Amino acid sequence: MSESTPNTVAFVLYMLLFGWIGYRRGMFRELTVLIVSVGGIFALQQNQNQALDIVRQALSSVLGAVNMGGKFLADIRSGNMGGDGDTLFTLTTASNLIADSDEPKVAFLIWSGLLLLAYVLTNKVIPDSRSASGFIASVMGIINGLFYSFIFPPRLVSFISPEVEVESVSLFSTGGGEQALRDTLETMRSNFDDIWSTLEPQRPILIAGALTLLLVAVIGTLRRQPR
Amino acid sequence: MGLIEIYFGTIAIIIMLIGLAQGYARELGRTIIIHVAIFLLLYVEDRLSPILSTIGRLIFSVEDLGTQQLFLSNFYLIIFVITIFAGYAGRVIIFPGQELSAPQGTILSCLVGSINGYLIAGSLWYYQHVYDYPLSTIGWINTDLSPIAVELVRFLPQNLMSSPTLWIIPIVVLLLLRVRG
Repeated sequence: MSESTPNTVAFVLYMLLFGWIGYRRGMFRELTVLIVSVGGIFALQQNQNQALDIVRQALSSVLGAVNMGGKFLADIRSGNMGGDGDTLFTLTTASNLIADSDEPKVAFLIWSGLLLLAYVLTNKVIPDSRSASGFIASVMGIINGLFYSFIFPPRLVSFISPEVEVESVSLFSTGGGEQALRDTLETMRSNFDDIWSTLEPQRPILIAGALTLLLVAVIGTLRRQPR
Repeated sequence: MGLIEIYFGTIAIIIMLIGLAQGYARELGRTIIIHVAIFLLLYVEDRLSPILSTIGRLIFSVEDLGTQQLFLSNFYLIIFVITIFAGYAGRVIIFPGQELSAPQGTILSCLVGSINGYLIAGSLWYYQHVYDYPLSTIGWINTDLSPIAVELVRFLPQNLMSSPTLWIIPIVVLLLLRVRG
């Protein structure tokens, strides 16, 4: 057994998981999520400034309310209810919390929120009857899983083990959404090349198995006529 | 003469379009026939080629290597084409059931048609490649392979699965599914 076998098994399990999610959720829901995730990258890439401003404004409102509350409590403690005393403390401002250089991070957080929302809303809004389960739904799920596999897992590994260096695709760096997608596809290609070369001795039997599975899956979509 | 990948790619696209027109329930039966043809030719090739070479030498006076390769290549090509033609013109195993409606059914027809196109065009290319492109001697094929063509040769069906026994796996599974009904 080669050293990379556990990695390959993990990758296959990851793909199976997303295939199963796709099968359960149906094609239309998965397609909607794919459109939102890819479209979201392009939209946020073009409008990172506005996204940052909106987040700052929202955060300013929250921080303003907290600051005012803090000041009010401090006045009560000092017995100065007239409201003309000095503020004992002021929480930080939104601009201090989010610097201009944090634009990509903010865009990534918004994109992640959009994705989560897309998953939740498609489950609520799209009825089961309009999102057919089956082979294509599984494939859509796997495509989504593949897309995320170069975005989320590397960041997760960096979070869990900061000492491990993992290359992740920078979605909102310079170069635009096209560059981000190109980077994602390039990372996917290089990872597949690695897996492909690792599996060299077992390649023919794997291809035969994959071809058979594909044909069986297609046959499985033929609907039986009611007797 | 154009690039060889365009030549065989066009054949694959035509087969794919036939699959799209016919629907994937019928195309799956043809997929079995194509698998059987590939299996049989791979299985007998090593055993049959020496006999064919002898026959070519004795009956058709095929002496030099180039003509011998043209003879062998054409023999396998003709057998393969006849088998495939039988699959498309004659009766095939049809899987029972109703196909999915568009767009899913169309996508699946396109997928199965593409598999058949790849297998047929890839096999035709393979029997040119292993016999050093003998059709080029009569000007039908350009042997100056582009970098893409050199790369694609690695992915020809018989190069990916060189053992004939592997081709049996899908045939057996599909037949079992058909018998089970």
